Amino acid sequence: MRMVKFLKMLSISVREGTATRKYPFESPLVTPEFRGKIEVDPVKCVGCGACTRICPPKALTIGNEGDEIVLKYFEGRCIFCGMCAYVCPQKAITVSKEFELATWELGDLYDEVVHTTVKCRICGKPFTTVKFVKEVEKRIDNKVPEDLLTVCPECRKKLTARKIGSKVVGVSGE
Amino acid sequence: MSHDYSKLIDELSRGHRSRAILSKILEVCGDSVLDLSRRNIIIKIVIKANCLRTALENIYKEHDLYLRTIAASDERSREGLFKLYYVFGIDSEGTNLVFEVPVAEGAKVDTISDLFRASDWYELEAHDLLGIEFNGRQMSRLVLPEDWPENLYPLRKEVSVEELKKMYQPQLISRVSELGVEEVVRIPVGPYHPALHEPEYFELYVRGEKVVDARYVGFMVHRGIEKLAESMKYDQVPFLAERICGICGFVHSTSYVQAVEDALGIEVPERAHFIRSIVLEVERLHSHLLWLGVALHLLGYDTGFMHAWRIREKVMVLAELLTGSRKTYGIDLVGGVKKDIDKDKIPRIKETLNVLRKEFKELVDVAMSVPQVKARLTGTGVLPRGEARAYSLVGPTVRGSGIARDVRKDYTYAAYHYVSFKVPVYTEGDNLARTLVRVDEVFESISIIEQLVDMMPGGPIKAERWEPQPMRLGIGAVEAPRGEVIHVVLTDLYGPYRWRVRAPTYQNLQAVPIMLKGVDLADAPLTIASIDPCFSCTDRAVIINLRSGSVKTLPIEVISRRVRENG
Amino acid sequence: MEALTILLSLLFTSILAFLPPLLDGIERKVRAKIQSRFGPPTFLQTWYDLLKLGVKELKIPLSGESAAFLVMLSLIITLISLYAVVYVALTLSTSIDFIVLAMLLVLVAASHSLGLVASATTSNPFALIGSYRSILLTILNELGLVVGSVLSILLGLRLVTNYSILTLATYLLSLAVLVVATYVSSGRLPFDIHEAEPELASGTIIEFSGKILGFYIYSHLLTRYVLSLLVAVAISTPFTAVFSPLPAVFPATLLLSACVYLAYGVVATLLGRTRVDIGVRTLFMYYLLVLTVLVIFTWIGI
Repeated sequence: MRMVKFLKMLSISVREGTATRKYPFESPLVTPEFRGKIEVDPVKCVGCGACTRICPPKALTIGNEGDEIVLKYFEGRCIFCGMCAYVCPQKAITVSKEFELATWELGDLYDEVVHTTVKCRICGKPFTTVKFVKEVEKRIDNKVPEDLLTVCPECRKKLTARKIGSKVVGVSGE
Repeated sequence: MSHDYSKLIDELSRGHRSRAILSKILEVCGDSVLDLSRRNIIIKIVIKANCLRTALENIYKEHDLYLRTIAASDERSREGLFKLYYVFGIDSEGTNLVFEVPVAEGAKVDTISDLFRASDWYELEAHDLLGIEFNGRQMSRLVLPEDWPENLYPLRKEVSVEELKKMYQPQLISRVSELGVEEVVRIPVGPYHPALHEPEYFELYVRGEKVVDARYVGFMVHRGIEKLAESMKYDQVPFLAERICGICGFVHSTSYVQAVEDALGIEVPERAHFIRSIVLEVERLHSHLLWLGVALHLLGYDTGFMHAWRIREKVMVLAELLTGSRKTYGIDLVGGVKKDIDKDKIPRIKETLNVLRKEFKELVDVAMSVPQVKARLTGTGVLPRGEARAYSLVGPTVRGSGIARDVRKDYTYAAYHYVSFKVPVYTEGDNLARTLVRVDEVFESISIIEQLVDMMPGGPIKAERWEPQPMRLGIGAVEAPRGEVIHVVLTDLYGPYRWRVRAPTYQNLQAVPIMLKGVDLADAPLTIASIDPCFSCTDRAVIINLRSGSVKTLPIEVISRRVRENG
Repeated sequence: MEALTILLSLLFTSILAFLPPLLDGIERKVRAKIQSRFGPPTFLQTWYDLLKLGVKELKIPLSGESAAFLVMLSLIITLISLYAVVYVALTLSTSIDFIVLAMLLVLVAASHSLGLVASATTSNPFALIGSYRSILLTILNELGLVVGSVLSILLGLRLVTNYSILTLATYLLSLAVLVVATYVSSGRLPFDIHEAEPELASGTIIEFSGKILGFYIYSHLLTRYVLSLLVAVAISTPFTAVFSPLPAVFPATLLLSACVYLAYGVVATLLGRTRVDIGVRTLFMYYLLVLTVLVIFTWIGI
């Protein structure tokens, strides 16, 4: 009996049948927890850039393009870790189950969310998104004067320095 | 004088073994020991470089003392020195003995490669990457390629990641202009593994069909991951760490986060420990099933291979259900985990484990009854116990040679101290012993997961907040399917200052030539695979167009299509 | 009669020559089922593979002009040996023509040795390791092949004329020798050691490509079929005296040959690969044992 025990493999294969799937023609094995490509909801996104700072492979980037701020998602670099969705303060990023991303066109691998910008009240440079400013306003209950919100960080530094200067030395800023 | 020491030693030692070692070190190197301290299981000895060898000469014969890793670090910006951290383990006590050795620029350190043979590669690597010189041994290139410029040490802080990225491509362009052609395709062809198809190279010296000697050449695809991590933030590194290995990535990310948690004293919630342990064991299940399949394939028993992988598929689906991904689970963060295991998944886990236990037992019974499998595993690739000890080997490789070394027991971490499990040990040291260790471990892992799932406490899965501090040393070790993984982290404000990774294969590979001596040529692939080697596999071809000066990296398949289109 | 037999043999040979790749296709499908896989999309897959190789460019391996020539020669001789087996199967009766049987064995042995010579002429040292392994195995195995086939056909015929339990036992033993010998000759697991580790050492397959590889594989499959047919003939010999050979036994023999072919395939799926030293030792012990028993039986009984 021990000598021919290897024949038992036949009964195992009869019991198990065919394990492989004709994948493109049959549905793939994906559980409900599967992490595929991410989707950025352009309505909820405020363009704060938190996701771009945590993204380990730098698949998410944010930057100025003319008068707009653009959040770019490049699927080609994405490792599907879901950290962006984990840190997004607006819950604008969802992880989908999509994984069949092969394409002939490189452009298909890019996703963009375009934000209109706020121009600095003083220097006129676009520095952040309109939605981000509104969100900050909402979160801090309008405790910061409106005029300070629309000043870019650099000008704000100068402004603050001048204010302190005027208080200490008594020199008017103007 | 000795009176003072004995009080200090009492305070620091964690058992009679460490007491004996400490007193011996203080006896021979009393004046050269700059500092002695202990934190949890780490005893740190700051010692002058000139006395390190003397100290180790006196203790290297101590039982169950072995070299775990050596980390070299460039701390010139802070203290004007390089530093070497020698991490030794005392198995029976679960103590880490760390020798911190300050090395001034240009100074030489005495080698210890004759005392601890495993240190051979560590010393060469420290020289390659940081330019630390060692006395009394032959130095040669190990990690870096042959044509790497002299005196450029990539892990030194003054060398930036961007600079290194540019390193290779200009050389290619000059090569192309030398050849005087416009477009050249460089396709790296092999050295690859006879079984796992990975970049490694063995030279077998054969007489008839018997292997009489073997030589290993490795590090074909050194990726500079440690350097890259120095430019990343704490919570980004786990994802990089996970990509060190395509089969057992989670052990690396867990090792890294444990090292950071150890260094910064972060309290990790119990539930997170349980989740990590469960996922680690799921990973071991899949890895051992994968290995068994490959081993059976090498023995020509492809039916066993297919069925091993059919069973493994159930583990892969389970892993995806628990973590969201079949591999590279991506749930480890410093201070906890990202994804919880919900209650409603527990029945599914248990169901899978029951099926797995039954089917795996059946498969192993059948496979071991195949005459060729048994005949070719027994007595081939023998690794004697003494050699296993001398090379500080780890994992199933060492356990197949009669040494019960297992990080889960010896330096317990995560939630392993809550569960009861056996460490399977076989004394024969042949390929069969290493196979049986893994087979037994599968059953142990199934039992561990069942126990953990039953005991899982509630509560948060991640520490609320933690404060990074500069220059703290932390050690994180995990028992990977192939053996012990150990990471050493020196912290900085935003990310690791220095991150030293040591994979189990680094240790085990050095002993493969011993196993290969005297085996038949036909058994060489199996013997090499019996340590379950794990290399990286990222070789790609580079196309250079001289006219435009552009350098494109393409997968090989794309090139073959282009060639066909052109031709 | 004679002319008709020759014509019929030629006809069946030309039809059966197309069978081996089909049988291989079925074997691959069966193997896939045992391994819980789908396997190739159709039974004709091996035919498609061969046709694909057939339209590839002709590439002669380095210093391998003789190898290419030898492969073609071995193919032709295998085809002739197929003809010989078919002829034997058609003419089986109590009065067997020994010359034909001897010719058949010479042809089978010749096609084997030509295959060996073809693999030994390559300049690739890795291919040579595999070639020497198979030479070692074949030299030992040819002994079993000759003894097994001659004895089983002779005893099968004798069984009809004067039956005794000893004759039956001797017949079955010689059949066992033949089965093992043909199985080993077919180069299936566990005895495919000459093509064992493609990255370390391997046989001729690693050296050939395109058309030559196609012919080599086809010739290899044909040899496998000739061997299966030989076993089928040996099994059906005792029945030739009872039933009329041509209408009843011959179709059954053909069916049996396909069954033997596939049964060998199934057995190969359930086993691992042997090592050259273990394989030779096991085979040697087996032949020694069975042949000793055979000699004793013949001595006391027949």
